[in-house]
Amino acid sequence: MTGFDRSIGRLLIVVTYIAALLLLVGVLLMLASGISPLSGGPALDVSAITSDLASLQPAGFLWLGLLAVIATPITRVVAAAVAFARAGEPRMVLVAVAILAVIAISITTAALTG
Amino acid sequence: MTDTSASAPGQPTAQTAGLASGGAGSNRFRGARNYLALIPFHAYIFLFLILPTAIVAVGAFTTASGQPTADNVSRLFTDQTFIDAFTKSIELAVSTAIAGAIIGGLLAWAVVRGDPNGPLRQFVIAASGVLAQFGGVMLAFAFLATFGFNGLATMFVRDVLHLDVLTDASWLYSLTGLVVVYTYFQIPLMLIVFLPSLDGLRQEWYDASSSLGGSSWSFWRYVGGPILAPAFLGALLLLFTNAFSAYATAAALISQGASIVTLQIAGSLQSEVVIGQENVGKALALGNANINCHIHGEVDPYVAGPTAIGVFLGASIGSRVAHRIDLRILRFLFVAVLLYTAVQMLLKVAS
Repeated sequence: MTGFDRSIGRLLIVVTYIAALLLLVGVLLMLASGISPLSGGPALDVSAITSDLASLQPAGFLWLGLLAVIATPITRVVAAAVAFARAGEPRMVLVAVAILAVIAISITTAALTG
Repeated sequence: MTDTSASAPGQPTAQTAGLASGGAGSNRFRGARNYLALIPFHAYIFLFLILPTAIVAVGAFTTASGQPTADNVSRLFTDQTFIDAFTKSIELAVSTAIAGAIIGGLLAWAVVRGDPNGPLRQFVIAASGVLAQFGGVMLAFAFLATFGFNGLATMFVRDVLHLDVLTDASWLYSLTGLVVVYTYFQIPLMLIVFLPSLDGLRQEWYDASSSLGGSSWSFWRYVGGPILAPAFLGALLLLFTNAFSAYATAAALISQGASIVTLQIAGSLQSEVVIGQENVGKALALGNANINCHIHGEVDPYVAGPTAIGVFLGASIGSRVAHRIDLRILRFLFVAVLLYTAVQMLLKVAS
């Protein structure tokens, strides 16, 4: 394992713990507010996350935590692409880039179609 | 081991007789323990198979107030809506079962003829294992996102290639669409179910048939065919029941007009016209709300948050303590939790 891999590993662990902490705060706030998990939560509104966090709304913490959880494996793929490029393995870089392209297309399509 | 060679045959020594009787006793005890171990399985079968079947069977012959009646069943043969639904369900199940069996069977044959340790075989089997389970709402969503009115393939063909081939996506929401979608998971299921039988066919049998002057046709007619027929017919029956009882895919694709039996059943239970089914209707409405949510690809933070925390805690704690816990205890613990959850679910639906 190279130093780069180690630092990426550490970063991913930290992000995972932060995400879990945010989710835990969100769930505790849900419990405190008496919100049922089946009551139907608000859709993702990135612009509302900051205000939700400031006003201690569970949705803000939950969405930020979920976004961090979603971002973690994507970060890993980016890191893998960089690591493969450094190691001189163009085929594997291509695979990593293709995975990122699929993710990018799905996010763009979702953003465009609402 | 006791040496019995010195004693006369048929006259076991006291020592061996004692051992024999003791062994039989412990065998009996072991047998009883084996049956005890099956109790969770039988309880599971009773709760999820026998009890629901009994409830449905009794309900079919009683009125809402609990009086015995044959009207419910007789309507199945007199009401044109139900007759149409059964006809369409059978058409759907038969066509997808036959298509799945033929294509899946041929695919399995192609896999068997290939390198037994080759990457193609591993890939096809792994992919089939995943795709055979890729049913329900996920599959419906995949097809809607690809071939729906605003699907990726539809829009690509229309806007980029400027062709009118896929523009009219209404076929997807009809029985034809269901046939295509169902076949998608029937083919890999057939491959998984039928492959072991094909693997069992020995090359030696073919060689023996050839050395006795048999042709390829006579081998399949008298040897291969009869050996594979039970497995093939069993798989065909499995595919038929798989398609006949499928609900979620059809429910997600066909939102208006309950055209097949499973949708009719759901419609009957949810109908506000039918008196005395309000609670079941509520339970199904909750299910529908979830289904609609998933179709649009939305994530509900109130559900996802607690789930993610549960997974995180479970994985963190589990990876640390799992290797220290006796697997038998873990198994019993899981059975107990699953049974508790199952009973809770049944009680919730019943209330």
